[in-house]
Amino acid sequence: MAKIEFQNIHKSFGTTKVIENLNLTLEDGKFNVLVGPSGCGKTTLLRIIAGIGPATSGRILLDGVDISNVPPGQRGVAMVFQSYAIYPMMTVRQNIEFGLKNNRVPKAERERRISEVSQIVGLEPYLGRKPSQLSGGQRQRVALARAMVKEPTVFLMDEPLSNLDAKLRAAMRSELVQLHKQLQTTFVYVTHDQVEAMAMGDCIILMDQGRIMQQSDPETMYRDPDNIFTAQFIGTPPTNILGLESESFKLGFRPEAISLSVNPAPDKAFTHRVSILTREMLGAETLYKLRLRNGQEVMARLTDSSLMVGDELYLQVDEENLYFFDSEGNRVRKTLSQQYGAMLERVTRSHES
Amino acid sequence: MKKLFVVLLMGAVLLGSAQGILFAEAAAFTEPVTITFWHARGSSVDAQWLEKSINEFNATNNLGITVEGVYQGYFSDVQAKTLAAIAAGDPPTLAEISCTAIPLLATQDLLVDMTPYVNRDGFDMNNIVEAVSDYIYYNGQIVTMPYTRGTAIMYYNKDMYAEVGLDRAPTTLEELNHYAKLIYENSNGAVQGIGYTIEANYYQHYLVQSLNGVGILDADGTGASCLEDGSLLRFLTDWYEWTEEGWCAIPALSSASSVVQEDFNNKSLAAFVSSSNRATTILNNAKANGIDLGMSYTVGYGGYSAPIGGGSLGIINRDNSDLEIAAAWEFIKFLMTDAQVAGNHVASGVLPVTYSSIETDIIQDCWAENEGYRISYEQLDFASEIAFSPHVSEWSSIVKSAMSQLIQGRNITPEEVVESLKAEAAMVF
Amino acid sequence: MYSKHTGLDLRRGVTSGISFAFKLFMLVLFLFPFYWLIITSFKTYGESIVFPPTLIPRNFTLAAFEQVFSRLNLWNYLKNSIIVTLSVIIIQTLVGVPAAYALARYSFRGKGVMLALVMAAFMVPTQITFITVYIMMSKLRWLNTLLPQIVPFGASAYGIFLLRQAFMQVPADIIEAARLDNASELKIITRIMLPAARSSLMTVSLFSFVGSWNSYFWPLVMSNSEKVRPLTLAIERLKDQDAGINWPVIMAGNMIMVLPVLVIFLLLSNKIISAVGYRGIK
Repeated sequence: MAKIEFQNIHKSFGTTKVIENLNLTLEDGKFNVLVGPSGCGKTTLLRIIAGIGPATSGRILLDGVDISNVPPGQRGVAMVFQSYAIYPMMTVRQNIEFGLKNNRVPKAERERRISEVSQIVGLEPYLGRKPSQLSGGQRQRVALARAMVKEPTVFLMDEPLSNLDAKLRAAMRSELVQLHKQLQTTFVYVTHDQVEAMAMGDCIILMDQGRIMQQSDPETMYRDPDNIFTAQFIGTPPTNILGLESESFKLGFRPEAISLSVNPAPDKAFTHRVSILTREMLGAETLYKLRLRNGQEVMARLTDSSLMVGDELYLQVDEENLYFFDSEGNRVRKTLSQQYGAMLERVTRSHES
Repeated sequence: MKKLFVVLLMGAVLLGSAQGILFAEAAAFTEPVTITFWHARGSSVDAQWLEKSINEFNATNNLGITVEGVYQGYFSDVQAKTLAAIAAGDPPTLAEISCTAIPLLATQDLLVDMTPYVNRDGFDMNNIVEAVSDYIYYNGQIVTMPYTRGTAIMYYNKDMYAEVGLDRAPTTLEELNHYAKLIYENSNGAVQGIGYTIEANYYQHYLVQSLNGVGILDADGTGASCLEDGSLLRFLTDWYEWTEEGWCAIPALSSASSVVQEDFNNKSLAAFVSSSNRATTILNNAKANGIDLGMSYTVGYGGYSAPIGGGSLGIINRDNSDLEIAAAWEFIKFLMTDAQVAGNHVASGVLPVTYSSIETDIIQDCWAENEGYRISYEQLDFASEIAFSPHVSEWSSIVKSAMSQLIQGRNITPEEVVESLKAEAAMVF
Repeated sequence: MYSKHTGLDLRRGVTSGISFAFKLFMLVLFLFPFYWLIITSFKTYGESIVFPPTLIPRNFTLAAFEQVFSRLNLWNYLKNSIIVTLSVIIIQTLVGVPAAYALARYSFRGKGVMLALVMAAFMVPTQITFITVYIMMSKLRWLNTLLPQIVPFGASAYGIFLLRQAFMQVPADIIEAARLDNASELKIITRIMLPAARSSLMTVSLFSFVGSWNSYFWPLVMSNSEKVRPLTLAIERLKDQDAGINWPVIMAGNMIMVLPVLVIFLLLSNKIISAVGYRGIK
């Protein structure tokens, strides 16, 4: 149970600055997900919390207490590594027990906790085995159990599922969410996979190049992106962004917000003639790549799979599904149709012919 | 009156200083002292005898002296280690030094002059066998005492020589060679008649000496007339010829001395020349292999000729306290007692170095049983040792490698060897 | 089709035959010297020098061993060899493990230079240093102790280098996990690094063992007393070529010398072979 605050954090590796003046608060008890492309600094932040890769400058607070100079082992945090980092020469039990012994937890207490966590993660039959005799999923559970058994105030996870196959990964995702519900502690989960972030997080922190692009719940992150980066990073395929030649603004809409029809519907805010370039049938939905008259291409994601390559149609998007961004890529939210009505008119007209 | 006074005074001063020189202070053994003795006596019989000697001395001397013997390898190793230890400031007190190394150490004043102790204790220098006394003195000082001195012995297979018609030992080189050749021919080349190893200042020295009277180094130690008078060329030409004909064994490139003995015991060699110091071991091995071993005088051109070599005891004149030096002298005195000298001779074959030891029952009984030991002593009458010279060590190693090139390498003529040695001699002397 | 199969089988057969013959050849090549050593030590002197040599002793005798025991105060030398060898292994481990850990896992000023120094030390043969070391030992008055045979070998550049390589192969994650588990650096070394580097540590120890046990030149130079000399020098004493080398005695001495090495190698051979590398568990 802990709130984590980053204050004016800087981090460089040699001469490379990875994070500059970052401020961030992770709320107590939340399943926080740090997500972003590789190199965005998410793992760096996690390691700053753990104390195994201290910040170059700035402070890190845990429940208001500055822990910048507290050794990793005494911060009350536990971490699950991407590689699991299981001690290969120790048995499963010894792996789980190692931290407890180092923290001088009495034997009886150790036994109690080990049997409890091994039951939760289903490792009971394997306590005597060496890691080399375990499957990938079982090793992942050892790493989890080793973190859980310490009863940490903060749970750090660095892409813990990336080494599992797709099926196991999906199962583990929901197990981790359940585990969070059960433990009610602060989770900080690092992933590069936006689907995983959306599926698991209470609070998503989206990062790019050492900066926080948006911090919000998944719903908001998806529906109300603060900038082009967020709009494009969250959701597949990414939000379509159209540059407008005469304007300094950019227009965005999600592939799933598109509707296609043979005739233009007058009530739609954005209408445009398109032809279908490619068609990918995914099952419940179908992806179409569309070409606009001016040569720009957009993706559409529809439940209708009846359209064929070469069809000429009208693309339409409702007004509430249109995002506008300024030249910096930041979202412009103010008054939409009122203020930009005229522009919208122009846009719509200009693409009709 | 005044004159007389001066004379008396001078006399007193002289006497006083002479006393100082001639009579060592009676070292007071007030505290126990341990001295180290570096030696080259590693072989079975040698080591056992020495250990017995040291134990007896340590147990019986009531001066609190303990001798600790340290085997340092062959003579060359003892010499190298001693010089290194002197340089490092931690030398042994006593060392067994080969004849070749004594001039080197003595000329650098690294050996204690034992004269004061000899005088103090009335040690009888005349009792030392004259033939082995050459390396004792340097510049009027007594720098060593003979200890493991030896000569060469001709060891031969009596049966093999008898078979070709010689039922006694050969008395000249010519005779030896004649029968050696017969043995080789009769066995269709399976048995060689004689074998020498290459020790230029020892075995080859006496062979050359029988031609020119001095060997490979002149008596004054500052030249090698053998190069000019044709004696070395003649010997080398002969030796090359003998080995070319096959009846004289070519020395092995490594452990040559051991290899001739193996061949002898294996009955593929009928005779060889080796040190008298190994007599006991050689005798035992021959016996074990069922060989009737003959031991006799070594022969040179026209008659007997023999070398003298081996080791002597020297006290190191660096970083040793008076007490340690005095203790070393006590041990030397002990080793020079009749029982020790006689026992040493009988145990290993090294020469008896005092006249009185020869009178002991130990030696007389031994000689009665095996004339070989007596021969080694009697051979001293016509044995000679290479001249005492600082050049001995260097010159003999140069001659040795030249001989090795001729006899073992066989890629050079005897004439070329002599020519190259002349060039070397110009540098050395 | 059928004929092609047999052709293939035949070729495979020939290949494995050649491979077998080669292995057998190598086996004989390596084992024969040991066999020669063993049989010669049980021969009489006379039989040891006959030509052609006998491959099985005609008169099996323990005389050579008796001679070794009677000629040498074997226990003294054996004791020295054991003390020196064990001390060297222990000190090398105590020094080498932390040094290798620091070089593998920490970054500090001068690390590159220090590593270069270690590597340079690795390349300097003892023949170059022994005179200066000898003088040093002499001035310290150590030549009558076992210290000159132990102290200069307290750190092995080769060992540090090998251990460093092994430590570097341990994933950083595992060390960080241990730090998060509140393990001290010492505990990280003993519980994580050493078990991971077990093979390398064993290799290093074995090399030290063999090097120290077989060491001849160094103790010969660095000792002035029989009391502090190792077994190798004692065995050398058995050899006196002027008196005719007694091969059975020499071989018996070498048997005594080589036996502990052989036993240890046989006991640990599996682990030595597996000393190839280490991978973190994923």
